[in-house]
Amino acid sequence: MAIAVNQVVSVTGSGVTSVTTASITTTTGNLFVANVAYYVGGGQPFSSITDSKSNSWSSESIGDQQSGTGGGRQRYVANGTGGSSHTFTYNSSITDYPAFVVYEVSGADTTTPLAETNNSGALTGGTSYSLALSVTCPPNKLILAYACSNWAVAETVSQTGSFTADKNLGSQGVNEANLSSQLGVTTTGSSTFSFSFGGASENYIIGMSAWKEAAAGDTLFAQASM
Amino acid sequence: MTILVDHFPINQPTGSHDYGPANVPQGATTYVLRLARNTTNTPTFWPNAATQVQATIFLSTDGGVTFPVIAGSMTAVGGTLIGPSGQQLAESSFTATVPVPAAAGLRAKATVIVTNGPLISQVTVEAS
Repeated sequence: MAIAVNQVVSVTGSGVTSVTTASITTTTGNLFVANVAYYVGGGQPFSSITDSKSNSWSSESIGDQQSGTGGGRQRYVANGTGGSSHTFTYNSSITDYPAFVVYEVSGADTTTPLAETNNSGALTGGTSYSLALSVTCPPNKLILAYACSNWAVAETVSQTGSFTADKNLGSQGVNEANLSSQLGVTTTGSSTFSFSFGGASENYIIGMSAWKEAAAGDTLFAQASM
Repeated sequence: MTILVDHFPINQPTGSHDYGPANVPQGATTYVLRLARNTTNTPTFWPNAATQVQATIFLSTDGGVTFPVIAGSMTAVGGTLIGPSGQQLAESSFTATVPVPAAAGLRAKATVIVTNGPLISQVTVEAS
């Protein structure tokens, strides 16, 4: 099975200590990846990510990054437990203004799905932003990229290049912003891909992660075990 | 954006209370819930920082008999908050997206669970 995004859910909050996504039906064995943007102007708010299937969200693909009063990180669950009425929650230790995006990915390696990562650190100024990530195929990869900003007013960004924007959660002046995008990679050999977008002269962070497709043997084993 | 519950007054003790249900416009995928907060202009609203609220939007496909689907949820505490803009925060809110567009006949309600009440506020629910 080719690695692919099954579905994406999101929720933003303003003046909250947690936010929970809509309940969806997911599949056991799939990969779950969460991109969260949060407000660090009052201190580090990130406490945890949890879900209604009691998966452990302690694995961090991209750690805390901050720029201005905006912060963000990416965590994941490999070979997760799924099912009906599955919700995902971002928990904050203090009042926060989060933008939370969760991917369900099928066809990923179930043991060590994370291949490569890169992050920008703090970016500020300018009107265009970019971050590159080099990946090697096979196995095929899925790149998940996010950009977070501490916009204090309503603004928009326009994504450029070959990525597909799944969620573009503008701040509207009440929450952090989170642009989350994907790109499937099947080109044999080593290639470099850039996630780029245009925006205002603001504080941004960018994170990129590449996820491995399950080996053919993994797929056969999964099929045989059903 | 269609308003399902419009600044409905809340004056409730500790416990769970429902607001709605209301009909959801066909095709809706985005749901918003807002709770009015304590500010200089609204001094009686939600003044106690120990008063915690869990607010959830539930969806029903059987005309409002059961509400098995969560559209989104938040928790928040009371007191006066200064937001990132430097101004007093007038509302706590969430905006959630649901992958499946609303079919005809979908209904929504808001459930507000109060801890260390009472809660005095106003609730607004929107869908689009």
